[in-house]
Amino acid sequence: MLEPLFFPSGELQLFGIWRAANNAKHVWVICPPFAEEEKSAHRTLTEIALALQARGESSLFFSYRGTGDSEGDFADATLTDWRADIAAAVAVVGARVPDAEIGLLGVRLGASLAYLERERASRLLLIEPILAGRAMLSQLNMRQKMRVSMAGGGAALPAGDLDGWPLGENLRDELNALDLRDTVKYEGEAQVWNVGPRDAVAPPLQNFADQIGAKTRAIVMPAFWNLLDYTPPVPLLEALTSVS
Amino acid sequence: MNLLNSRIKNMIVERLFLPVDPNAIADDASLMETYDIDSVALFELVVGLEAEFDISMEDMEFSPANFETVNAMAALVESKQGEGS
Repeated sequence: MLEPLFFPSGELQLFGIWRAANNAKHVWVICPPFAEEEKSAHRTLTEIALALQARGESSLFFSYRGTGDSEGDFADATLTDWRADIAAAVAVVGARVPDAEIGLLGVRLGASLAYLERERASRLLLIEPILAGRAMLSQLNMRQKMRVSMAGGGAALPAGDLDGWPLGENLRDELNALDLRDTVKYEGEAQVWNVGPRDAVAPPLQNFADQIGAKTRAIVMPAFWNLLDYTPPVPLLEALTSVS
Repeated sequence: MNLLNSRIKNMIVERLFLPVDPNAIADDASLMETYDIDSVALFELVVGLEAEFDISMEDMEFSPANFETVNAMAALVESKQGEGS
């Protein structure tokens, strides 16, 4: 069953897609990545939700406030708000399937936020979590410069604009402060997945996984959150079917 | 072929999932023209250089010229590594 729905987070209504599996013992909140990365990853996240449903697990794939069809302005959003949005999504799935184990599945910044909200779940599946928000911001700014440069443009980029997304000062400050490189063990079951060209987990992600006590896995495929065109995420979905 | 250029060529083929022999990439050939590199692929090369050579590039340092050829990328790597010494 597929059900589009709105649910409250504070005074705002967030949009999500609830995919229910019959008699599901596990239910996931899918935490999307940031800004342009969410746009590139959206279809793959839908494929993940379908794969979970096919293996008998329900999921809620939602949009943070200020993104997608959720209420709110992106320029006003903060990481604190988005963590509250994850908590609100967890409350929704907990109410719908009270006896199910709740997991958080996140990609990139969504994986980082899922880890920060780990106490709300008994399982984590973290796909390429952002370990240093400052580095992510720098890379996204660089990508914006690349696009402008390769399009022959030389105009100065507007202040506070991140590839067309109005980045508020509070969000920028929280992203710059985000650092998961020295963290603590997670008591539930956790997996950290590395997506890239090599059949090996990059040392920074491996160190993070070791610190939180997570299993790791290398998924050999392009970084789907960076692609303009859709690439079937076959290796990712194959890996998903084998997660216990 | 020097080791630095060889590592860069391997990184390019690996990161972009190119169906070519890394050794077939000429040191001074235009990567943009030869392999039709767009901004997404270029971004992969930046991330690949940072990971392969443990360097960090700030967004203000970006210039397409630094990624035009293997030789240009090698010069960039040597420059960044020199900053840390």
